Amino acid sequence: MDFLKRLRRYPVALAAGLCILAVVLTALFAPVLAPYDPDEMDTATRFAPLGTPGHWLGTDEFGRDILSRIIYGSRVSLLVAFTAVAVALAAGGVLGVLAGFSGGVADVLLMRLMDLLFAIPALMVALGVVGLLGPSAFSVVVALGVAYTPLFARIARSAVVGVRSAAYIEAARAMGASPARLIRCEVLPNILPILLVQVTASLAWGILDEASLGFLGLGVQPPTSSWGAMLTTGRQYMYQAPSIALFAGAAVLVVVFAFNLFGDGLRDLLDPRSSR
Amino acid sequence: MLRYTLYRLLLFVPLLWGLSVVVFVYIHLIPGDPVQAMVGASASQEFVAQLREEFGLNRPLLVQYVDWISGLPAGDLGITFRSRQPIAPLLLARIPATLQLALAGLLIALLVGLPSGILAGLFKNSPFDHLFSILSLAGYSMPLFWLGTLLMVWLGVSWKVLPSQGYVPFTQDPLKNLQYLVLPAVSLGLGLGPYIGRMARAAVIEALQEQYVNYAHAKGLRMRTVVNRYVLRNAMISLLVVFGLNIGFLLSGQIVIEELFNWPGAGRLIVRAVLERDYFMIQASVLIYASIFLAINLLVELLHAYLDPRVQLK
Repeated sequence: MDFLKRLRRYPVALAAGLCILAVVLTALFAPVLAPYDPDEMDTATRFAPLGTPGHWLGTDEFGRDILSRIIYGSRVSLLVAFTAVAVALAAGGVLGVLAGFSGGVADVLLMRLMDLLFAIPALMVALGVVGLLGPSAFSVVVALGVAYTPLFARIARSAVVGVRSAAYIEAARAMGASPARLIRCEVLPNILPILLVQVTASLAWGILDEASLGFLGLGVQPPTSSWGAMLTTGRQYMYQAPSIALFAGAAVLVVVFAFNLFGDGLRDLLDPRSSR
Repeated sequence: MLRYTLYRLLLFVPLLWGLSVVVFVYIHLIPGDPVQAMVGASASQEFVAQLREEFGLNRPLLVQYVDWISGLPAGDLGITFRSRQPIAPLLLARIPATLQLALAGLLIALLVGLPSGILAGLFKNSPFDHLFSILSLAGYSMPLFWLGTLLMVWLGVSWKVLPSQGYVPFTQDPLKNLQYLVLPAVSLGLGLGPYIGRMARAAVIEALQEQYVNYAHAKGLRMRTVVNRYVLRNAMISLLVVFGLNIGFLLSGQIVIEELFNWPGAGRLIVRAVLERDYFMIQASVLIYASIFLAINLLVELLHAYLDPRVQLK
């Protein structure tokens, strides 16, 4: 509750948060909100233009309703981004906390491995993983999860190193707390805000990267609708139906923008010193 | 500086070695058999065995690794799976187009990002700063390929101001080459520019808060002198470091832009390799891209240490 009260002082972040909530609700209630089945083809109404009654955003090359496909596409984008970031947070968080907390050889080895993965641009890592597993939603989740893990590991480690020698940790240790308890009750709650800000930023990248992979033909495969894949078809049919690419891209832009604004606000809220 | 340079170079070697191990292991992470995955499940066992023999995949892992890595210094990256062509010349042939696009994109990004970011930082909380913050964040959130598609449709197809897709080598027809370069380079530059702008703003604000800036003001120096001589020079140093770390963004963005504009760079080669499941090609390209990324970062670190000698002491 306290958090929500404080969030009210950041109206832009609050608005962005509401926008994200609206998109999440749209994804959840897609069957109710979408006027048509996203895969329903109607060859009689192929390439219906913008503003056609019944198909307000027009139809694509198979006569499928673009609005419905964008609404359903939000499911893929959000699901892939959320799961990939959850994977990266879990894997990177555990590795980083272990490395930072244990120190010594384990720390050096783990972090050098993370440095190596970090040295490969995220999209390259993702391309490599999709190459291994073949293009699918699952591959994209694994690919982005692997690609983002080093960043979370680094952040978690440096946050742990920062609090490791704090007085309250020493006190808990002196009271006989086990390492597991120290991590769970003392370290984690204190590094959570830092991780949370990173989660928001990563969700924005997740949606962008999912769309990029989809655009390259390496994401979710047809007929499932995803924003990235819609941009690829939109490019092919740019003359007949410009609204496919236009609105799919706009959807990505709005959601990513909202996540970025929310992340910025969250950072200022959790660490007022960073507010400039 | 010499000692520091040697020290960084010495650290670079194990990093490259580690990279080679990770990239080598990659091909053996494939669930099941890599050859089977490349030819498809319907291929006969004999055919798969024959291919494994041909590509040396039936030998012990260590032998394969030593064989592979000993070829690297001579530029032997192996051969592609589909066409059995040597990989190195294929990649090398794509370098001019890739490099040209990367440099042009970077130039545009700097031209757009630096002045606006610096101004926003100098005039923090002014209307311009607020406008900059919103626009740069929106630009940063924009999918590169969407921006590229819009530019292509408006300038290339509707207004026919510029050719929308394709490539002509500079050596063949310099003017045409530049015409084809404009749209992809602008798309890449406008994608990266907001990011550079945000970094520049943060760096300027940080530099403005330093003691030496207060001192310079107290000495009675003109604002222009303080900015040019103290703020910008120091802001550029921190900007350099952040930039080095984010060169990956440029490399990734480039892959997408090359695909969109049919620009025959190395990025398209990689995407095709992934689509065709040519693991040898993927392996080689990841190695090359990551090495370039590491090398640029090494250069940035050395440059940083040269510009800010305090770094060498750490």
